[in-house]
Amino acid sequence: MQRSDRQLIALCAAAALFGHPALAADEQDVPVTITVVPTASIAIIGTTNLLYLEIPPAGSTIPASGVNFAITGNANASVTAEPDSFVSIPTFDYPTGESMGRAVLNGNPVGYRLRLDFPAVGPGAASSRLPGYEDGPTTPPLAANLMATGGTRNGRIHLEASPDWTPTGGLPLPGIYVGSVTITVTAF
Amino acid sequence: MTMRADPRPAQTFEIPLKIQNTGVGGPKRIQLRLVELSQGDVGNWELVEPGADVDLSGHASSLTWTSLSEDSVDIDPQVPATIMVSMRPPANARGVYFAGIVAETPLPDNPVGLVVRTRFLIPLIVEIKGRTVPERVSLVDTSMTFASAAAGGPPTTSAFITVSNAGQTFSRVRGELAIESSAGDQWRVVTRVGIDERGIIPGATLILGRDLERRLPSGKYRLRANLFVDGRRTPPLQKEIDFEGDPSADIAFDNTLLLEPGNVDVKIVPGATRTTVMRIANAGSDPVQIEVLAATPRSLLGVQMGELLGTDLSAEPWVRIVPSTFSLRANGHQNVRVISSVPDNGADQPNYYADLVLSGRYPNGQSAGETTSTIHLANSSVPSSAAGNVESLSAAEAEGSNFIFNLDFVNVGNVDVIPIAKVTVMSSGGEALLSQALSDDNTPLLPLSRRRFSGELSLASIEPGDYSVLAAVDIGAEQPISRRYLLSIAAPEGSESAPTISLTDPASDDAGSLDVNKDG
Repeated sequence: MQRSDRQLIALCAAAALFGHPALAADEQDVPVTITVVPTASIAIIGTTNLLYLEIPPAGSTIPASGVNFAITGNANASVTAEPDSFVSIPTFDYPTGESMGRAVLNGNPVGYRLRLDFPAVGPGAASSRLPGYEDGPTTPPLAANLMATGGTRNGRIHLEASPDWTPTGGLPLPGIYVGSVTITVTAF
Repeated sequence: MTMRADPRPAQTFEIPLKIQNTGVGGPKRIQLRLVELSQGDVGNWELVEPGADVDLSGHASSLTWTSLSEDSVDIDPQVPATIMVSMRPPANARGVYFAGIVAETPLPDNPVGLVVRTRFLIPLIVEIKGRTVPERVSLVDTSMTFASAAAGGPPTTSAFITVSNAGQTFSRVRGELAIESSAGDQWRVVTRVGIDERGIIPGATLILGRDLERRLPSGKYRLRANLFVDGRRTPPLQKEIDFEGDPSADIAFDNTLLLEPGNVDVKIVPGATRTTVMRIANAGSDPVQIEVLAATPRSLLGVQMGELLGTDLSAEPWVRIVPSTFSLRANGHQNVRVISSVPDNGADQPNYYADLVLSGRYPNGQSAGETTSTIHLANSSVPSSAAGNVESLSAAEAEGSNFIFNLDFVNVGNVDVIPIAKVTVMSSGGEALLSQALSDDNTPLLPLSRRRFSGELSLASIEPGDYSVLAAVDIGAEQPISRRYLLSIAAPEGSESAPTISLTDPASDDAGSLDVNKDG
């Protein structure tokens, strides 16, 4: 994947190297230090960083959409995904309500589930979901050793929606619903 | 993506944090804030949002005495922005403190659809110089689970160790696990695996696992686990389990794959090609599919000395293995050629290294084990020079009058060494009072690589007062590489109380002594 194919939210955070004098002692004075330069960056692959949640007219199928991303670095990277807000939606499995991500159109919310794949393919490929098997505001963390695969592993964040996932169980208004999902990257 | 500092109590200091926009379009706005930092089951860092229902007992936070110079910054492409992180630990600060720096893209003003934002969590780890804190890191359990294909991936078995930190140190842990199956009155080793090293914060319990890359049938198994804390072996744990595995599987034991010679040393000349023959033998009773590859050693990744990157010392780009895949029948063998082609230009270092990774699989796809050795390309036209630095010496409280000393050593030469470390407590007159060898793994340490040595020392026989500790590492040079620290032993208040100590570095008296490190 060429750089030009990627969304411009590719960021790289690295703790800066302090201009600290070399370690010195009475037994030695070697003006050399080894620094570890850990890096981790995330780049959205493709032309959009949007997960479309467009509710079509009743009777249609909600189109599935996903956003692909690449994590590059030289350590173990951990990734989670979380919605910016939540809504409780009664479902077949949880009639009392399950806490889903919340998207809004004209003040009317719908719920959505998240699926995070990281690494999306290859050795160690794994998925986590929200709501999942564990309580928490984010998908369970998925981790990969970036060093073992040349420094980059690709991931995918995917939306699952249903026309029934409204707080009342009624049909939602057609249109594009608004919200945000945050992917958190950390090295460990 | 970790920031570390080791100030004195009540010391005000700043650390610069650089953030880059690696895009090629316009500037990007990044919002910054500080959060509480916690640790997940597998050792991953987790941020704790304000008001979240998370148990942070046993956790030391630096949040109340840490601040950022900016809470929002516009970053042009390829031009790093610098944010200053200011800290002032309280006068009674002791041990290690944590916080997280969150750098995230903001929500657009007029979003359409569900916008995907990105966020970095940068751990901030502050270890206070001076008085020691207790180390209580231990192995508390070991287990094994089977994941069927319904879990999403291929069916496989994973084994785990559970590690708890009931002390106040931020320690590094790694493990070893042997999985054995019951065969009548005997136990037969199925496989041995290592658990990668990572940090564990005070109050955390980690469940660290490894995919065994094989299905195992139900039955009785024995798990034998070893834990190394800061390089020091702790008491092992052994547990017999009734395992519920794959009823359709047969046990895939590790096969015995022999590699001769054990390591490959090649004298190279820039512009020339050299070939070495290795013999790979299958000493097992089943055929296996073999894959051999050269890889950059892990310890060379992500390190830098001046302009020299660790990857500049990798032999991987110049090494080919022929053939790299083949089948080996039971008790069969195969010769492979290790072909080193070094270019005319660019080979200006005296030594280059690569891992030779030999992995086997049974015809049904299950792992038959893995063997690793080292390829060393020696360029005799450039002289080798062995050198090292004692980066730091720290101490933690163990039981009674015992203290654990951790020595961090780094190879700043251009050739691998086998370092041997010890600490010696000396009187003010220079007399050696106590000496203790520190543990290590006795394997070569590649250039630009670090190693932590650790050992326990009883100070019961030393009177309260001021002393020095000499941290010395022998790398085979004329003189050991050493560094002297000041040790202060305080008198216990009661006759039954253990002494307290303070260890300081007289050569590092400024605010920084800053290390930016990665923690796995």
